[in-house]
Amino acid sequence: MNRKIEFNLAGTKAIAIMHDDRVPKTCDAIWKILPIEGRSIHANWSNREIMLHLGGKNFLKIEQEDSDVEGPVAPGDIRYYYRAPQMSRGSQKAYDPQFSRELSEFAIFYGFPSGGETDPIRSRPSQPGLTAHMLFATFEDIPNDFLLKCWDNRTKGLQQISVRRLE
Amino acid sequence: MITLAKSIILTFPGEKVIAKAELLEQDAAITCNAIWKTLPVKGKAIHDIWSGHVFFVFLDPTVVIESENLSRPDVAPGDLFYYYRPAHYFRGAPYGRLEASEIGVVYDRDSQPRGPRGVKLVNVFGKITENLDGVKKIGNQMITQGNKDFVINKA
Repeated sequence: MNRKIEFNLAGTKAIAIMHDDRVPKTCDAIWKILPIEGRSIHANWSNREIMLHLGGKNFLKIEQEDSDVEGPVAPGDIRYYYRAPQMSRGSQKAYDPQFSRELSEFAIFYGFPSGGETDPIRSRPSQPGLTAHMLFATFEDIPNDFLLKCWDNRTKGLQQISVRRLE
Repeated sequence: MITLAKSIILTFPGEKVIAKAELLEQDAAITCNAIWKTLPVKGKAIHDIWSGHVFFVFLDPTVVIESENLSRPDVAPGDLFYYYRPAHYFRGAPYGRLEASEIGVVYDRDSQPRGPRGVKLVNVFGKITENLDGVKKIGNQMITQGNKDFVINKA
């Protein structure tokens, strides 16, 4: 049975189904850290994507579990992403310092097909062992108010976001 | 006789940050001339979602300039570029605009003008010569704080 999780972005909600059948270890690891909350930040290389960085006790380093991750992502995809510190030239100064080099995050794709992990800052060229990205959940539906809040990340700045278990 | 390059001033009124740029008239005469005529440009600077460390401001009304001094396709920190997107080139109406023209500002490395179709070639027409660090700071702030008021004027 596929578990469900709920995203609450600044008061707007969207429910996603986890891909327990494809990436069970990833789903288990993520399930264990829920509920979590933080502030979402918009991506700069991947089109319509917001990210929730996983820091402190919620930092997740999961081994690559599924290999069918190349190519664009679709709206509604939610991916787990890990980047080893070696993968980042310099540091990303807009990020909280704990994420400026080594990073784990949920990557939430909310718009037209996106570059996703094929963007230059992520894994092009791919470096096995230094990055991981797994599609671990997909939104059942993305309500319009949730979509608008996602875009607010770009135009208004960081937004409060939380993720919790549903079933 | 020495002809001095035309200069423009980039201002972020809310942050009281000012930077100066030179127009690359020798390499992009048509673009520089057209941009010069549109000044002052006032609007909201918005951070790019495809291209890395780039923000841009739309030109209203849309200004159409022919291709010139195109990026190869990489750009460097401090580059200013012009880009025109014809109607229906991308699906839908990105940013609520069927067609659009913009001035882009590259504030740090690891940047490459891109869009839904991949790399896009842009007219590189200017270079920031003073206070790129200030612009870099604003660019990074836009990632976490959102759009910023932005003015481009003749020096």
